[in-house]
Amino acid sequence: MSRYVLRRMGFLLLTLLLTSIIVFSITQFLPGDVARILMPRDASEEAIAAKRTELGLDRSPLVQYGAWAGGFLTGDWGTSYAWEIPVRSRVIEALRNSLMLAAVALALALPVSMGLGVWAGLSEHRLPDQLISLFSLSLVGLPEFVTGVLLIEWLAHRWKWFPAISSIAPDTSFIDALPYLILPATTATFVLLAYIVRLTRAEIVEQLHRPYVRTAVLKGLSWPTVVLRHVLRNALLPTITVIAISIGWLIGGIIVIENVFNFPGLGRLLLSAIDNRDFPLLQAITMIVVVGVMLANFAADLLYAALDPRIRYE
Amino acid sequence: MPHSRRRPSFRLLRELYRRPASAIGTSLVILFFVLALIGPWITPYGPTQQIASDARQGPSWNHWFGTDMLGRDIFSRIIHGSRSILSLTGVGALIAVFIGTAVGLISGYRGGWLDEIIMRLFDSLLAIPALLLALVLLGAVGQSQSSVLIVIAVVYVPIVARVVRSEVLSIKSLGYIEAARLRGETLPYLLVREILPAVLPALSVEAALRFSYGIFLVASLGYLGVGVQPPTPDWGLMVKEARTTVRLTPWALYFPAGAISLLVITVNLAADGLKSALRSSNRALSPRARHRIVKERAVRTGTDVERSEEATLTAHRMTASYLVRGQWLDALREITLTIRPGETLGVVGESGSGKSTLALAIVQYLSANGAVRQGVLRYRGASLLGRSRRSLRDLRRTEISLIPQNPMASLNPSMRIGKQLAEAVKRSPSAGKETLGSQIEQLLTTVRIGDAKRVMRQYPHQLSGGMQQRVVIAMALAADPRFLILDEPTTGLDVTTEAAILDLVSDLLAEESRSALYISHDLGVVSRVSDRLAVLYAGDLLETGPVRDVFSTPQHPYTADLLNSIPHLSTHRTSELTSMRGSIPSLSQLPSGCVFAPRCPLATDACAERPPLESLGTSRSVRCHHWARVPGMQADAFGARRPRHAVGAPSRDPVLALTELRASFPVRRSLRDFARRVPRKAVHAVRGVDATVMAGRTLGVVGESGSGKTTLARTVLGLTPPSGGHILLRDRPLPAELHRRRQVDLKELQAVSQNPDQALNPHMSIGTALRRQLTRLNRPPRRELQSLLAELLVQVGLSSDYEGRLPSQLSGGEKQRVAIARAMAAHPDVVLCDEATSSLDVSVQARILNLLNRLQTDRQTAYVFITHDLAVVAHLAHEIAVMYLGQLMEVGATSHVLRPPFHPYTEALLSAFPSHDISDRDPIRLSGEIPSPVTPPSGCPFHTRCPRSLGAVCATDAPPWQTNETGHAIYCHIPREELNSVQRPLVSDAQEGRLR
Repeated sequence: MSRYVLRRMGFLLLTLLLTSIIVFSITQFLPGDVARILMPRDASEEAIAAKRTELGLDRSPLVQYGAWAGGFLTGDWGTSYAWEIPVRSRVIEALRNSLMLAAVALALALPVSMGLGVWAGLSEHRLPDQLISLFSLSLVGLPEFVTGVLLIEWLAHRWKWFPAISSIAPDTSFIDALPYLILPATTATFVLLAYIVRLTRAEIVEQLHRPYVRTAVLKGLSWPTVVLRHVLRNALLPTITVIAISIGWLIGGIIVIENVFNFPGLGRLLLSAIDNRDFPLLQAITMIVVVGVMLANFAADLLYAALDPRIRYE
Repeated sequence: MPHSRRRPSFRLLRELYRRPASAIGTSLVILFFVLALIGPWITPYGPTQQIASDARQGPSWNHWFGTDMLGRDIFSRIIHGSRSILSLTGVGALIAVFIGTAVGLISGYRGGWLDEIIMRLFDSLLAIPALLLALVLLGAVGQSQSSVLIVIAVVYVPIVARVVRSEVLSIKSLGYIEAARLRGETLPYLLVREILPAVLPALSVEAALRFSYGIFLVASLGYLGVGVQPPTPDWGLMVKEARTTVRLTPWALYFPAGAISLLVITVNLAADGLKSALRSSNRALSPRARHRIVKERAVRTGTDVERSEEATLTAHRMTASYLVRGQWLDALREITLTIRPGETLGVVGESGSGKSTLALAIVQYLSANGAVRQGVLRYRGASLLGRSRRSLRDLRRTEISLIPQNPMASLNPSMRIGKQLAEAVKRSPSAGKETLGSQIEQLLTTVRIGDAKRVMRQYPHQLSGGMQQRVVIAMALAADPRFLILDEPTTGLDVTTEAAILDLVSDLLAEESRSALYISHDLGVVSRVSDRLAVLYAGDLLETGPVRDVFSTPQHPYTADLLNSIPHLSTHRTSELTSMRGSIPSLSQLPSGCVFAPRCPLATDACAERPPLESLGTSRSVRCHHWARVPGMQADAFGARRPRHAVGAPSRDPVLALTELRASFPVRRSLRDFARRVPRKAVHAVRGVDATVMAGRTLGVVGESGSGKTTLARTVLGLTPPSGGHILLRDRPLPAELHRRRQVDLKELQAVSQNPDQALNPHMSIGTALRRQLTRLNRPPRRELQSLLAELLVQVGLSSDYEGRLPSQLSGGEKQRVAIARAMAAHPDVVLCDEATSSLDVSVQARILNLLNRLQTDRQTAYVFITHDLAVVAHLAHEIAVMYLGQLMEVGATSHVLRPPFHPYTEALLSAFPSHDISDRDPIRLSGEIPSPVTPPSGCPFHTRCPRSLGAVCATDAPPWQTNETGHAIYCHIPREELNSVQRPLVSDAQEGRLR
């Protein structure tokens, strides 16, 4: 077990290193001469060169990466080109809001979708299964911006059940922020729902056809007992991984949703960074998201290992 | 019907249109593409054309979907927008599929450091959520159509590559890929002709999925304003623009939003359809079919068979069927049998005989599309059919238990053994936890598990196969059932383990009060445990009777042929096996009369009518018109066991010589071991094997799983690198790596692998495959190729019309013939056969063994025949080498190896061998498990389990090779003379005389 954890940790660090190189290369070298982009079009060559030196762009790529990565690890995430303030405080504040949104979305989506998935799987090819499949299929086709726009129009503007805008002040507590979170989180739920329902259903169906289920039935156990004691545990174990994978998905959805709801989170910040070609901000946001995704995967691996005897007793 | 010769693409389309959902999806996707293609000609307005007077109009005849704030026609904009979204995602997905496939193929096939680097890189890219990666890339390279295209490709290449790679990994060690390597194919040929076709199904599903996610992605980018820029008509952008004015022009929002959703849903439907169409197995049961089964059950006929209260189980004219594609296929037809208290009925049958259906019908656990449609099935006088859930549950809990094959899968992987057993124990309400614990312990002791307390705390995967099967047996015994059903409980176990389990089972069945049904394909196994025998063939019960009688005087031609087609330890090389022509019919193509008629030597016109099950005296019955002629036929058959062509003078001409051959695989070191500089461990699969194969002769290599026999074959073939030793082929040293071997080397050394289903490329016709082999290795002139091919097919007993067939149109035996033809195509000196007949039914195996023998006589080819089946080796081989834990234990001429003195391991193997004509009086059973090849025992590798161990010397010193004048050699410390005096011969002379 400890060996397994160590190996996973090694992979995590290696992947993180590689990803940081990829992210840095894309944002630092791909755009071309950043100094020229940032300066007014009629700026003199000297001024551009001075800007380049100021931003440290005249150093070798390796030195630039080293300085950036070192700064990232020590908490100095650079200065925003657009606002000329330290990137970190902006990112942390936005991260907090996004995390609250993600947490509510997961809390809404997981029980519902896994419940529906289990129900569909247990009633394979019968009416509940077909209805649930139809339902999740129609959700598959709804992009977040469509759902979001429709929810705002109907639930906020017309029926006024929820606030239409998500203005969360920097120090709002989770409880105070909750009313603003419900609509965007519901939107995010829709995306996850279809995905998790389908995977949970598939896993249940697969397990039901395994010989050990026959063994359990032929022992004379009642069907509910067979399902609860034998099927569910084996079927829901793999969904831990599914949930970890869906976190990457959720983040993609949240980027769009934050822009639909004008929600002050990482997604909205990211888009403004792209609009302003604010590369230090872009780098910091991307790395934070990547670290988050990887930690979620790592946690899922550990949880899986802790629950699956086949790995636990390796 | 299964021999459909339709083009695969048509079949695919037909499959897609089978289900309404995928039919709708596919049609709509096609419609979307057609609309996009002809868009500019059918739309009434230009996509950016503004008609100020028409602004803000709702849907009308002029503007089907209305107009927006600027007076642009929404229908036209949507159609034009579909052009941009379909072409962007289509082309982007295509690029991703192209690059991803190439990378995945190479990475997966080559493996090693290249694969490691590529996969690490892709893992890192995949750690960035797709939309985020797309946004970051667009932020860096600027926002335009072409950058969106690049972004889609970059985001999806790693995903496609991973899918392709994992497919490649799953097929790259299949028989047909290795056969291609053995004829020296180049990498591009291997990847494109042999591997790519097998990857295509998964790839096309993946491409469809990528396409649907791509639409999502492009639309989202459009909405976020970082994709296609206005005023281009983009669906995402249209939603964004319409959002602010949703009160004034709601249709401007709803129509593009609906278009996106509809497109994504249809592509998903089509992708789902594609997935199941490509899987194209039995169609899942539709609700309608289910309904019909319920009805069928209701109209079940109740026949007035006398209620024999004393019988444990009675079946009377019972028919069990499966509904496949709307058609009932009868897996069992009019089965009539009786099991009395205390009696064990053995059921033998080859694959497709319906023996598992029989087991499942009795416990009422047929799959959802199966049902007992007719007849009577009674347990102790009460019908088993149409019982309530509750009474069925009580019956299963207390009366009837099933012991299935594949114990690993039959145990819940995530529950401790003790808990799983506890569920099965019949418990009185007052019994506390302690009594339960001791009850379980008692059970485990009954199945001879010594360390019961420890096993109870373990999980199934921590036990060996034999132990798992003991646990499953314990579970079946937990409720002390009156009736046991054993469905191939020893299949898949090693001979020595099987013997121990059989000992246990026959003791359990000997108990007075217990009746049992023992199902197996192996006559030897069934004969050891049963009182009476029932022979099943293609769903028909052909014969029943007491075991001894059926074996000595079979009354059905099939039984007679079956008995004569089994190689015995004592039939060594004296005669050909009886081989039945043809193969077992599939359920959908049963002959209308007697099911065995097409293969029967006694068949006449009368056999077009189904024979009744006739009773012959009190205890026997047979379903044959000509049963009276069977005893005569048997004599004929025995007489007709043609002596084999004499094989000239024994050759003393070595073609293949192995010296000190070793092979080991490194085991991954843990991080801690790495840090502590613990040396790398390795699996030592082959540990110094010396062997010589003579021209035109057969060396049989016998061993249980883990003995290293397969690694030995792979090392000789060059598929696994050796870690030491030499291989000489006709006195030429053979390079270790396959790619360094010259064409002449490849030509002389070929192989036949175990699994006929994996031996041939499913996408290549038989003719193409054989022609390729001939051209690569023989380089014949073009005009001779066809005649060589025809000759080759004749030699393996296939008619020339097989040339155009695909492997899926062949039976298992026929596939194996083609695999043999391929190996033989270039007249090799040596052919390595690794378990070449193990997955075949006995009646088919006999023909393959005869074929191999005939080819050897005709062509003077040498075989190395690797198997776990002693009888096959005894029948086929001139010399036998017995292998254990990577080393040879005994080598010699077959007749010498099968007679004392034996190596103690050989002795144990022979004693364990289940055979109906040898009754072992005082069997030798091995204790413990085969040790790990990572840390093989010192001294003699067998000393940890040897029943004749001398003690310390065996554990410390490597034994000497004791060789006699004939070359028979034993690797043991015990002197030959001593072994000879304590060991008894295997087959008495009388028995040998009977079998000649």
